[in-house]
Amino acid sequence: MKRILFMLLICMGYQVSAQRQKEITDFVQKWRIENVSMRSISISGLPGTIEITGNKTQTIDIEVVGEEVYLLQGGATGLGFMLSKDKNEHYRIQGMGNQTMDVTYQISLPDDAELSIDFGGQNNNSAPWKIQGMKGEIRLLRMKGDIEVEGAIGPVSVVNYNGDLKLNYERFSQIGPHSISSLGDISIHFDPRDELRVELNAHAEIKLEIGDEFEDPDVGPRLTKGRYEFSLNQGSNPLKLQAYKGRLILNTKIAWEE
Amino acid sequence: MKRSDEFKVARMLDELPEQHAGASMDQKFARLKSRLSSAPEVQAKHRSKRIGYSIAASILMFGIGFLLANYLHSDRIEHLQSAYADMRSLLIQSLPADQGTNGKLRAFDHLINSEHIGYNADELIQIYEGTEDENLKLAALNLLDGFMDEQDVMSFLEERLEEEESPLLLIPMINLITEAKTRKGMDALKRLEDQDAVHPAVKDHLKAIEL
Repeated sequence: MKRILFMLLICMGYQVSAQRQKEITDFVQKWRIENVSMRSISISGLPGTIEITGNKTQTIDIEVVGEEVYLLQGGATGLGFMLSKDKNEHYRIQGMGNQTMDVTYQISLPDDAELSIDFGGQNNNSAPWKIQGMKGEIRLLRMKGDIEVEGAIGPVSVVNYNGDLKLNYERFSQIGPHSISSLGDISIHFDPRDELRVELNAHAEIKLEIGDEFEDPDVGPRLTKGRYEFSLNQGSNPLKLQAYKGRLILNTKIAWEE
Repeated sequence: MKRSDEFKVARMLDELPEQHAGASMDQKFARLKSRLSSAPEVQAKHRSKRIGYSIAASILMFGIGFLLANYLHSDRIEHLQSAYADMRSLLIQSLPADQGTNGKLRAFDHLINSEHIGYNADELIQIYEGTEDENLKLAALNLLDGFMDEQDVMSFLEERLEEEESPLLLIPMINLITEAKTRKGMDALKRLEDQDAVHPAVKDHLKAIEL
């Protein structure tokens, strides 16, 4: 009798868990908001990989996938985050976790919105961030983990205490200074037509790979500690770059065809 | 009256001394004759006087003009300096305000690139301490190497070594102190190396510089 009861309990528990999983999946589908006028969005505290894609349809679309989705809880969404906005069309995704989980937040946002992801303080999430097709200002801050940004215009600002950065500019915005401070390998690609001035502070010995299109770098493949300046197409808008270790690649990609 | 006419009149008066038209007229004629018969030396003397007066008046006018221009110029300079000081103060106060990184860095660049506005070590430290934005802190920190002979800067760096947690800020500070090579600074670096809670990248950097 006891064994039967025990088996029944296990079956019930399984059913509840499966039902919960189904509820989450169903709930996820609800997170699509169309015709938004988003000026900016800030994201913090999401436990897991973040994949952000810019869209031209003025839509917010959030899907959460991964093996540990069922572990997420809290927030009005039940997925460990809250989505809110204020009257000035500033949106906010506030997560509840500081750790790394096997989940991926696939977030599609209007591509002209300002994007800010702030994982400062005690956040231990080291899962990668991938940002693609966001054309407005981008500000990224994290304690550890890799960052990949594709198709940026900016201005772009990155602070990463420990991780690699890959940044491909679609076009280098002339609105104001860009700023990169990352403790890891840094790889930045520009369009050959971009105009900019690189202001580089090397805080340790850095391996440098730099394209021939850059003017007057007068530097070798290994940089010693110091300050360096060189420009691309005699530009004046600065890219303020702090390199601490590892490799630094500054290059122009093949011009993309319009 | 033309000179030739003056001589004619003078000769006429000499030739017709008997023509009297009354005492007052006589006096007038006498004065006129006296004036017209004045020797060229007297006339030259009058001319010299006139020239002298002209020169003196010119110098006086020049002096007045110069003093006036100088006053206006220095007033303008003071006004400009006051305007630059206001602008510097405004830029420094607005830097830590709640703006995006782009806005802050733009204001910071304007501050350091303008030859008239200028900046000093105290202001760089004020900017560093007044903001949470690491990009701005780094921008201020990178300029402090021009002021390493100032005791306040060294004291600031030594204090910050004990309080700062960000490796992005600690590593440049370590480099500045290492270059200065003061005893107090090197002792501070050794204390930092002995701490357990230091970021691994900072520990690696301290090992690499071989204290």
